[in-house]
Amino acid sequence: MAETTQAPPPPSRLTYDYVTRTIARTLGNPTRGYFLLLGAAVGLLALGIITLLFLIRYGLGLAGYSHPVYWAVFITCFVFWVGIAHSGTLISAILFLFRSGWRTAVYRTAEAMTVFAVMTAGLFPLIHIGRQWYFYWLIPYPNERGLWPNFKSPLIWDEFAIGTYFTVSTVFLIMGLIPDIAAVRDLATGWRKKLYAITALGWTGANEQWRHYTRGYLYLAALATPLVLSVHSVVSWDFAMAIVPGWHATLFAPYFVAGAIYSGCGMVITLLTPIRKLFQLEEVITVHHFENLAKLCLLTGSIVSFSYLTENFVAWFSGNPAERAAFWYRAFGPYWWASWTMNICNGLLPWLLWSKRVRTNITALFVISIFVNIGMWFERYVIIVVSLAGEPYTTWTNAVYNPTWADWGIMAGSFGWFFMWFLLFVKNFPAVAISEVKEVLAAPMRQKARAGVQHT
Amino acid sequence: MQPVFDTRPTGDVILKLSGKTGTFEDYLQGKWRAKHATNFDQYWMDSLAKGGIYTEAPTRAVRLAPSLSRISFAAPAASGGQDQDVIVFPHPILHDGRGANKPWLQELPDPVSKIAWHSWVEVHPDTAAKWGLATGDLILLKSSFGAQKFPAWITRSVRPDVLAVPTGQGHTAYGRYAKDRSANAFELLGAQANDYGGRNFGVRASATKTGEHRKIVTTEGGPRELGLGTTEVLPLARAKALHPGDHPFHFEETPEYAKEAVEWWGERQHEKASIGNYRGEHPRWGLAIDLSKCTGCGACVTACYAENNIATVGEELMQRGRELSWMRLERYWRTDEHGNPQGAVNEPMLCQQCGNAPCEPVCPVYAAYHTPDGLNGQVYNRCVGTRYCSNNCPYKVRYFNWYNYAERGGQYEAFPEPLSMLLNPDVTVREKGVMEKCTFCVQRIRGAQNQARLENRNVRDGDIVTACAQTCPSEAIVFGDLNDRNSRVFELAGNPRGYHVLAGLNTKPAITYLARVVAHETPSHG
Repeated sequence: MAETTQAPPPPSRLTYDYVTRTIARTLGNPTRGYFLLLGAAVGLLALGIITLLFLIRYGLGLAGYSHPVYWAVFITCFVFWVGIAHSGTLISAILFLFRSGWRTAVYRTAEAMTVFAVMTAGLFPLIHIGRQWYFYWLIPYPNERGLWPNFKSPLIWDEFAIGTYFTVSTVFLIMGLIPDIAAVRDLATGWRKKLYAITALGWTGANEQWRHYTRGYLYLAALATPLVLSVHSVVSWDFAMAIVPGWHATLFAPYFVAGAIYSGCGMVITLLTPIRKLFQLEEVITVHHFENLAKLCLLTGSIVSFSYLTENFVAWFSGNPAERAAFWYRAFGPYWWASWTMNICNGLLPWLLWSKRVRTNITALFVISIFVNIGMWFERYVIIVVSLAGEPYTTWTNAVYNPTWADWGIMAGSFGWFFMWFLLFVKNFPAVAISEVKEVLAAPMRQKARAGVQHT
Repeated sequence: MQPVFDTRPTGDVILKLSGKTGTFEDYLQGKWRAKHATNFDQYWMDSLAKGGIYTEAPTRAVRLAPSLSRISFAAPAASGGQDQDVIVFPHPILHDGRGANKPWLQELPDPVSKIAWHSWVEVHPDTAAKWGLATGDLILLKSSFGAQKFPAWITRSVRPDVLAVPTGQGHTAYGRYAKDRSANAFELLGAQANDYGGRNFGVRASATKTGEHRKIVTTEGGPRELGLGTTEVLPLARAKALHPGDHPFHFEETPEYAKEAVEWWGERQHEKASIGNYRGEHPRWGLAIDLSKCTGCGACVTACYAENNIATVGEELMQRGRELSWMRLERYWRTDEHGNPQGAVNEPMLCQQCGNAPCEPVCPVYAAYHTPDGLNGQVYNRCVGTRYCSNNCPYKVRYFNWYNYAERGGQYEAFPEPLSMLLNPDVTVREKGVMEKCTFCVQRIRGAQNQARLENRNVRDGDIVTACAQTCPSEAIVFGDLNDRNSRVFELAGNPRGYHVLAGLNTKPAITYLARVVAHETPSHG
């Protein structure tokens, strides 16, 4: 269904068979390097779990919170991970609807990243509340307490936004996997064969199945598309609905969505670079794909920079002393370093991507993507922590906040949790969409296919 | 009351020691009965009611000593040389140190420096610049009598040629809250009596920068407000010219086009508070706080701790900004064009019980809710601790329980035996992970309402007194029903000096502040 005209001219080796075997090879027996990475991820997760147990036993006081900074690293991480989750659906659903052929090689990774990032983000609202054991009081269901959550609260909107997004993106991921699992099922042996036999849901590749599948996939893509815009808009309303200067802005929804896609594309580049190298997928995931991701980064990064300018301009132009004070504090107060990290990483760095040489240099892109991640983390830190710390209405309570080991422990745990799932996924399921990559290749002639077998 | 420990009254002890039998009460009554045998029981009860036995004292003529006119009141010239003039002043809260073992008093910030839990030395900014000092740098003061180290607090409230140190801390014994805390200023002073029979509280001492540093435990964030209407002052001349109905303070009002929407939203907030049993007329509780009367002493703060079972968090946590003072005193400097302080405005800041409260709609579980009588209720048992309410509170008067301060043997236990006996049985002791705040002493309001119902009458003005209003020595705080046209608070709320803090935010606070009247206009205040 995707147009082939957009795809790069495939090298001669890139045939249907080659694709199946190359991608199936990524699922082979894990190497020592893989186990080391997985071990590191599980180790970080364990650190996070231990920190969480301490927080539950002794209280949130172990983290760095101080009056009036009542949201800090945990909510920063929450927004960071929700943001990461955005490019997945953008690449898989929106670009699918736009018939962008280049998405096929990268969308599976992006989608998996989305699901695991939402899974990570969803933990933070549970961790950050004061009485974690009562988290279910936030869930609307008829209960013996006769109590109901407050639908005026943006936190309840969040719950629905994140819940919906998680459900749809998970279904979308699983749906896309079915034909690919069937493809590797036919090559696999041992316990994996049994696993894939079940998870392929009886896929045989019959015309009838393909017809239903493509229809269903299209509908799901259409369903997921508005979510890309809605989820982070709702998350941004956690802030925009409040009266804190620096939060209370109508700009927030588009600003957050652009930031989310920016950070998401950054994370896709960060993840794809090592995967491509480790699994020798250079011919499937080419420089062309990276360049396109870089262009997305450039576009969304520019929107983010524009939003920064707008924010500061409006603060000045409004003449509102509270707004002016808040943005002055942000730029020149005790947190100037965080604000300028954010401005440089998100405002100036994307400009490098105007250069085609940078866009086609994978090492440069990898380095830039790391800074995109750092910059976007700091953006949330600046919005949340700095706005609260220098809240201009009651300057008497202004206080500088410093994170503690508990903040970093939970944050490290979140990275461990994310990478654990991601590593498990790429080793057990095809990280590149076999069936869709084939769609953008030239259809095989009998002779060519035979030649492909001889090559491998 | 039953004896708390295995103790007996002092009188009983003395009786026992002297080999007599019986209780001290009987003994005392026996002695008085010998003097007033007739109708003794009535005499005894009357004396108890009056609090003593009073007789008219004969008047005596008193004259001022003729030598009085020779006393000079000129400011003494600062003496030169290496040594500094150090003034040791009594701590406004701990006094000479007798209050140092009470966590309530330790946790109450000094009215001016806003420092709690330790002593300090006040240094003028010019002196600090000369010596290269920053706030918190420890200075060794060495007089001919002794030496002590104090952290510097840099302030314009002291003269450049003088250092000032409060008394009160540095006990070597006395109890768990006082012992080994900070430094004792008395060590700097000599023991000899001066000419007037007292002690010299001025001494000359050398000041040395030690290179050590400590973080000052202060509740002061930004000492200036941004002209948003947090504190208001009126020069005497303008205050005198005010007439009832005047509104001397201006704030940005809601623009016309938004008024309807804002009103609508405000009314929707109260929907749930006006159905079912809650239908009908209700009081609207309010406070009036006269900043002209407020001295900043902080008695209201400690009264609030006592009434509402507020935990003291200790030095370490207070330094991290985790004190739970529902009532806090903000001290904003008024300065002239050179930045020199022209006095301070002390402003008691507590929950404003907004009519259109930003904290309420953001709570996902209705722990923050609006009561029919206009309070911003806080259901501790319902709170899960998202802390959104505090973020959305422009007054920042909501406080979070970061630890379980009531935990037996916990690191931050606030009520170790026998301090748990201080707890007010009418108020919940909060657990970790919940938000808490001022509720206008709702337990007293409900108590008075129940009492009135039992007596089949309405609540009268003055029946309910919040702990802060009850304790305020200058009666700066008045509580009552704003819907009662005859109440004191209604009258004060209509005073032309009255204003609402951050009125431009449209929160509709129930607290009216009465502007501080000052002698002269200053270019900047707050």
